[in-house]
Order: sequence, then C-alpha cells, then structure tokens
Amino acid sequence: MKKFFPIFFLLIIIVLFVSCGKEEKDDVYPEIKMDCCGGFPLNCDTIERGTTFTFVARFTDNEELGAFSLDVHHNFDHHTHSTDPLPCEFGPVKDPLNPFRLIKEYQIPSGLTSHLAEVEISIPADADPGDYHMMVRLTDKTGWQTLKGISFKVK
Amino acid sequence: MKFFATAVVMLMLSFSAAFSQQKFELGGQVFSSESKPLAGINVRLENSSAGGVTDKTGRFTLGFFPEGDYHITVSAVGFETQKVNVTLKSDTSLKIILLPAVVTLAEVSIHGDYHNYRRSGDSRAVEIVTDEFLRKNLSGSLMKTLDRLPGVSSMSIGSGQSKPVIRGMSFNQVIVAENGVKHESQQWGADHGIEVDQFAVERVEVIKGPASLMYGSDAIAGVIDLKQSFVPEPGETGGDITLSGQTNNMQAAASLGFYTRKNQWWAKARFTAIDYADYQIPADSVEYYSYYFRLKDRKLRNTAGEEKNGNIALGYISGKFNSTLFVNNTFSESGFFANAHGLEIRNSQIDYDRSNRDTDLPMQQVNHLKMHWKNSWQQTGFTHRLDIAWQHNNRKEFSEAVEHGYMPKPSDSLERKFVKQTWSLAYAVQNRESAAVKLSAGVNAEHQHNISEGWGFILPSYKRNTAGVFLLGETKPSEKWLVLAGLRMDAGSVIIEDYFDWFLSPVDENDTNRIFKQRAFANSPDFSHLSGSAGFVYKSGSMVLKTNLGNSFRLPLAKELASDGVNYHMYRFEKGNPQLKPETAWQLDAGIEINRLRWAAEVSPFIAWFPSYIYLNPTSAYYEGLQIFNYTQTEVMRAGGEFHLHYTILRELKIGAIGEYVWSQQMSGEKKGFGLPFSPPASLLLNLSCQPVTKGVMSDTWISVDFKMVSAQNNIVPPEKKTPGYNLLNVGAGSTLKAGKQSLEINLRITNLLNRRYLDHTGFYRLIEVPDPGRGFQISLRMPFNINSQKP
Repeated sequence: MKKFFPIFFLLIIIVLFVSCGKEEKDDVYPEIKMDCCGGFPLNCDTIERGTTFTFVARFTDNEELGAFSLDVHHNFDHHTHSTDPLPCEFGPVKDPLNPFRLIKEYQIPSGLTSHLAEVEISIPADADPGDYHMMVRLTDKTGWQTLKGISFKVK
Repeated sequence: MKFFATAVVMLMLSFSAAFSQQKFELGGQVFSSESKPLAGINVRLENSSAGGVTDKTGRFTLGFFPEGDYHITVSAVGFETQKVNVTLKSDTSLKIILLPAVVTLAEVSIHGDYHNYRRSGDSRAVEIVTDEFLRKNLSGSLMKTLDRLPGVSSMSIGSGQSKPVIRGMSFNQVIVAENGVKHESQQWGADHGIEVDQFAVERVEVIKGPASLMYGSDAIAGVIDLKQSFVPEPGETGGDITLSGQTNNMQAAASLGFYTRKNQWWAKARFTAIDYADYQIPADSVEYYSYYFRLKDRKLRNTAGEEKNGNIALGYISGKFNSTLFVNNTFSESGFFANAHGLEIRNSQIDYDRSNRDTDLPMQQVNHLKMHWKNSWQQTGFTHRLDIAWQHNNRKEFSEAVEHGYMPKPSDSLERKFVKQTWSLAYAVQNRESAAVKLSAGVNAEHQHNISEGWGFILPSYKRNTAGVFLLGETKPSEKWLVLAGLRMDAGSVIIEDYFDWFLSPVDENDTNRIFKQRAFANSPDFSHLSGSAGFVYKSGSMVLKTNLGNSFRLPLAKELASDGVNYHMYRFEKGNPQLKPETAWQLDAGIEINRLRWAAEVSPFIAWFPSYIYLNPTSAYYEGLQIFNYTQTEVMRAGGEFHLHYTILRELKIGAIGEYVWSQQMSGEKKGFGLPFSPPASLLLNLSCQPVTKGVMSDTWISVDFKMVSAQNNIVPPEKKTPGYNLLNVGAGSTLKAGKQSLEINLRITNLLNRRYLDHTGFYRLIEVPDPGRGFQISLRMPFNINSQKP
C-alpha cells in the first residue's frame, strides 16, 4: 500500500512535468500577398490568349519558405470560386474543347523568409477563351500551407 | 446539516414513542453473483420511509420493526432490481444476491453500483454506461452521446454522424466493438462515422487504454464495446416505442423494440428510423479563407441525412449452453456541407436552398450488415466461448463530377466506393471460477477483403489475414488484491493490389508523354507482434487503487503502406510507405478511487510511449500541384488523465465535476516538438443534478445542468488551425409517468443553451472553420410495453 503511493504521485508529477516542457515551434502559416509589388493576375483580371504573362506574388513566412505550386484550370462550369470576397462576373456555362491547363511546382531557394515569385506563363493562341481559375499554393519549411484562388478571364 | 440530524433524531423519537410493542431488527448483506459484497446498493422498505445504502462490506440495516410481513426493494444501477418478502418474527439478517442487469430502473447513483463493481475487476481505466445514461444523454449520434464520459470525446461529422475519440486518439487506434466483435468499416476516414444503431445499444463498456490483449490489432488507445446483453425472462413478451425530436436539425427519430421468450428460446428485434434536416449554427455566414459562405436561415446547407436500422437477435439459453445469433443492418445517408468539398471551396449549380431536408451532392451512403453467432457452454467446469461473425460494409461517396488536375470530368458522381467484408472466428476457454488462478486462453482469426471503386482514388483494394493467440491470468492473493496479467501473439499479412489511374497524365514535367499512372503497387508485407499487459487492483475500504502496464499494436493500413495518389477530399498528395512497421504503444495507467456515501472522487492519470507512431507528415514539397504528405513513423509521448468528483449536498441534490486533459508530443522526425492532430483541448465539466422525490404518477424525476468549459487548443500540427476556448451550457430533465401498469419515460434536453458560437477542435467541419451546432431542444419519449409477463 505504502509502496503504491509514490508510484502514483510520481506518475502525476511526470504528467504535469512533461506537459510544461514546451518547446518553441513554428505555428505560423506562410502568406501570399498580391496587393503589392505588382501582383498579377488579380481577381477578375483578363488575359489575352496567344500571349505570355508573368505571375507575380510576394511570399512571406516567419521562419523559412518551402515551395509553391500553380494550378490553372478552366472554370467553364463555375465549379470553383476565388478566395476573394468579391465575386467576378462569369460567362455562360459551356463545355471545354481545348482548355488551357497548367499544373506546376516551383522550389523557393532555401533560407528565405520573403520571396518575390515571378513565373512566365504563356497561353496558347488556340486555347478555349472563357473563365479560368488559378490556385496558388504555398508551403513553408514546416509544412504549413496557404492557398489563394484567383478567377480570371482569357479572351 | 445539523437541522437534518436533529430532524432525524426527532423522527426516531416520535416513532419509538408511538409504538411500544416489541420490535425486531431488519438488516442484511448484499452480494454479487460471485459472492463479492456489494457497496452502495439502495435498500428500501416499501410503504415506509426506511431505507439505506449498503456499506463496503455489503451490509445494511433498515431499523427495528414490529412483527409482520415486509417487502424490501434492493436496487442499483446496472443490477437487476430485487424484491424480497420477509416475515419478521425475530431479528433478521437477509442475504441478497444481485445479478447484473441491462435494463436499469433505479436512479443514477454515483457510488457503488455495477459501474464500480466492473471497474474494480479491471486494472485499466474502464467506464461503464447503462442504457439509462444513453437515454438521458441521447444525442444525434452515439459517440456524441458518450462525449460526456471522462476521457471520451467525439469527432462529429455534421449533426448525425460521429466517431469516437479516447484520450485524443481515434480512427484505427480505437476499436468499436459490438458484443465483443470488432466493428469493421472504413475507420480511417475523418468524415466516416460509425455505423451502429444507437437505440439498440444496451450497455457500453469503454476501456481507456491498451487492449490488444483481448481485441488484437488496433486497440492501441482503447475500446468502446457496445453490448446487447438483455435477455427476456421466461414467458415474457414486451417491447418499447421510443420517439425523439430535435429542433436544431429538425430531427425525428422512431425506434420500435420487441422481445419475447418461450422457455429456453428467446428473440428480440429493433427497428429504428431517423431523419434530420440541415443543422443550424449561430452564424449568418462562415468565413473560410476570406471567402464568406452566406447561409440561408443560419442552416449549414446539405448537412441533412437519414438512417434506417434493423436488429434481430435469436437466442437459446440454458444453464449449460447459451447461443445467440445477432443480425444487424444499418443504412445511413448524409450530405456534406455544400460550399466546400473537403478543403476546397466549391460552387455548384445545384439549388441547395430549395429544401433543407434533402441530401444533394456531395453525400455519403453506407450500409453495414453484420451477422454474429455467439456461443458459450460449460463443460466439466470449463467455460468455452465461440464467436463467428461476418460483416459487409458498403460505403459510397458521391460528389459532383468535375475535372481536377489531369483528371477529365468523370461520367458519374460516384467518387468512391468501398466494399469491405470481414470474416472472424474466435474461440476462448476459461477454467473454473473457483480456481486460485483464473486462466483464459483463446485463438482468433480474421479475413478481410476490401474492394475500392469510383473515380477518386484513395485506398487500394486489399486482403488482410490476421490471427492471434492469447493467455490471460487473474488471481486474488488476498481479499484486497487482484493481479492480472496476459500475453498475446499476433501475426498477419496485408495483400495489396495494384492501382492505375483511369485517365492519362504526363509522365513528368519534362516528359509530356501521357500514361495511366500507377498509384498503388502490389505488395504483401507480413507482420507479427507480441503484446502483453499486467496490472493490479488494490481495494481497501472505500478506496480502490489500480495500476496497469500494457503494450498494444496496430497493423499498418493498406492506405498507409501503398497509397501514392491524390486525396481530392483533403487536396493533398498522400504517399504511402511500404517500410512501415506495426504501430506500437506502451501505456502505464494508474487510478485512485474513493467512494464514500456522500462523495466520490477518482483520478486516473496515464502516460504512453509510442516508439513507432504512424504519422501522415505534411512536407513543404509539391507533386502534381498538391502538397505531399508522407506516411512516416515517429516516436511519440502522450500523457494526461481525467478526474471525477461527486458530492451529495442533500439526498436529492448532487454536484459533480469531470476534468480531462491530454498532452502529446512528437519526439522524433520532421515534426519533432509538435503535438498530434485532433488532440482534444483540456476541459472541465461542472454538473448540478437534482432528483426530487415525486409522488403520484411521476417517478424517477431528474434535472441536470452541465456547464462545460473547454480551453483553447494551441498545441497544433500542420495542417490544423488553433481553436479558441469556449464554454457550453446543457440542461436536461426527465421523469417517468405511470398510469396503472403503463409507464412513459420523458426526457428533455437543451444543448448549447446560450447559443454559443464555438469550434470543436475534434469536429470535422472545424477544418473549414464551420462552427458547431447552435441551441437545440430535444424531447424523447419512451414507452415500454408488456404484452405478457406471466412466469411459468
């Protein structure tokens, strides 16, 4: 009986002790800023097909940026929405014939807490015009991910 | 207090003054069927105010009474109520044996009932829940109903589905069993509830700790065993009708139960239908990534659903041989919040707001069929048990067909379909109850076959074979000590099939040739594991002390071993790891319980070490545009515990408190220093309950107020978000109305009375920042009926 109590209290003390041993850890999401630094395309922008445009955004993180990806797909069925509070005016729903599509990953040089991303994207002249959607995904080294959805038009 | 004592003395004086004739003492002792004295049993003398509660040795005294015939009622939660008739001619000491019951009639008493009796026979932390608790706390889904138990929380998927969380662990780290047979569905999915009829559950036993010893793989964090152990008396025929309604999601539920017994043959059946509409949250809109979902009438669109369940049990019972065939079928259909598909914001042409009762896309449909043949027989003092079970789980998940990544628009809306069949066989033998060392040994084997279909790949088809043997011993070296120990050996193999995309994608960025990409590779790894458990229970007076050290394991899932594809629900690329070893855990549990007549206290801390926790690690890299999540194994430490206090202020008025806390930390790997996903924050529940003594048509009346304070959860890991703290007020009340032999049980509940807007850290929709349900009123009516209760 008397032997039992020390075990019991030791366990409680261990529980309390380990729960106090807090380590510093990164729990901050990276940020995607486009309202600065000539960010493009902005929500509801229009891009001409057969041309090349530059995606521009400022990425920041408290510790270290990881990587980002761009995903451009048609939104002819209006299935996706931008993450901006302002809705854009969509064209009529239609079936895709030769929609433009881009899925690509990009590394960010290591050790950066701020990075200005500039990516050249060319839209073929024969791509379907209409409503498109661009998903920007950004991670930091820890694995936190931030998304940004942009609606734009190709004409 | 002083006033009370004085009143009692006055009363006694007035009694002795009024009766001058000779009196005899009436008392006795109450035992369990195993001849253990039972404490805290209510003993009441009918047509009199005399009554009491048994002490730790099971003794009670009712007082001194004149010669005559007396009727005594002996009752406690979890035990069959006994009526004893005595003819008092001299001082009498009765010996009463109580049998454990399923249908409980007595008041909810905190100390010394079946609960404690069962708990003090197990060195692990165990919680027992009766059908009465289930009825009083009835929620939209079973695990939400059990949420109130210390150390147990739930992961809600909307208002009608939930899955269990024991001390912060869920998914395949917790077993849900029905009558001892592991329920096999698609437990790995955060949006998959358990497919069980909550109205058919008669008793729940929760083991909060490693339980591989009896249940094999997956019982790492604990077991929730749902029992249907009620057997009708010979010649008895009856049943009940239960109706329930909820205002928040306009839920209507009806359940009809029926039972009958003729000599040794008995049967029971239950049919349940539940229908619910979209649930209401205390907000006009939900903000997720700076986008506002505007809600119509504060209703979360497309979260409606329905459930249809049927349960039949046929049994044969004799002293030597008992056999039961359980056949259960549950069907559920429920919608997912329309404005997001998993984590992605989704627009749709569907007019969701035309009705809040229909389920549009996205939605899930699950049918679970289970047949279980349970046998036990006695031969030359040995008890044998044989269980044969077959389960068929058919899950379909539908969502709007849209193109994604390189996937073109699919031709239908069937995103995922899983058909999982499980065959299991278990045999165990136990030596005599009277033996110095009670031994039980057993073998079991299980075969599983899971077929995946649909256009959204997440899990390859696989087969799984497992088998195990165990030996368990229990001994009582003295009246105060109980020592338990056991060993188990398991072996198994997972046979994973290849999976190829049904559409073409470029080989890689620089090679634009298009191929059907392989997403899972055929593989058939073998596993084995030796697990064990040892512990003791020390009982002295009103105190119980427990310690248990256990080792448990979980075989890696096919998904964890072999998936190599996009999870379109969570928008991530999940990469399996064929090198994974079984996940193992060592857990040290302790418990101290003190049960006094007026108060009870319990503290149960634990500490657990996972040398090889299987963790889905979010990396910083991308593949096919999506974030890569790798299955890895890390070392994890977890600790925490619960406490439980009760104090009886007056006979009718009780206060109580339940606190729980879990801490976890990854000790190695890329997320070293981080916690684990879905960790419930610390919480404290304060309860005030009153059971006024009512006369006339009303009986068993109760009123209960729960105030739950939940702390913020800041110990998170990607891709989670911090959740702020909150508090909730829930109120319940109930009574049983009697007219002649007919009774009607009414229970009322108001959940989230203050209509607080909060995010439950373990809720499914908190990922997209959708708050939990707002205020809801619930009423449930239960009418038992007895067609024929003649005893042969």
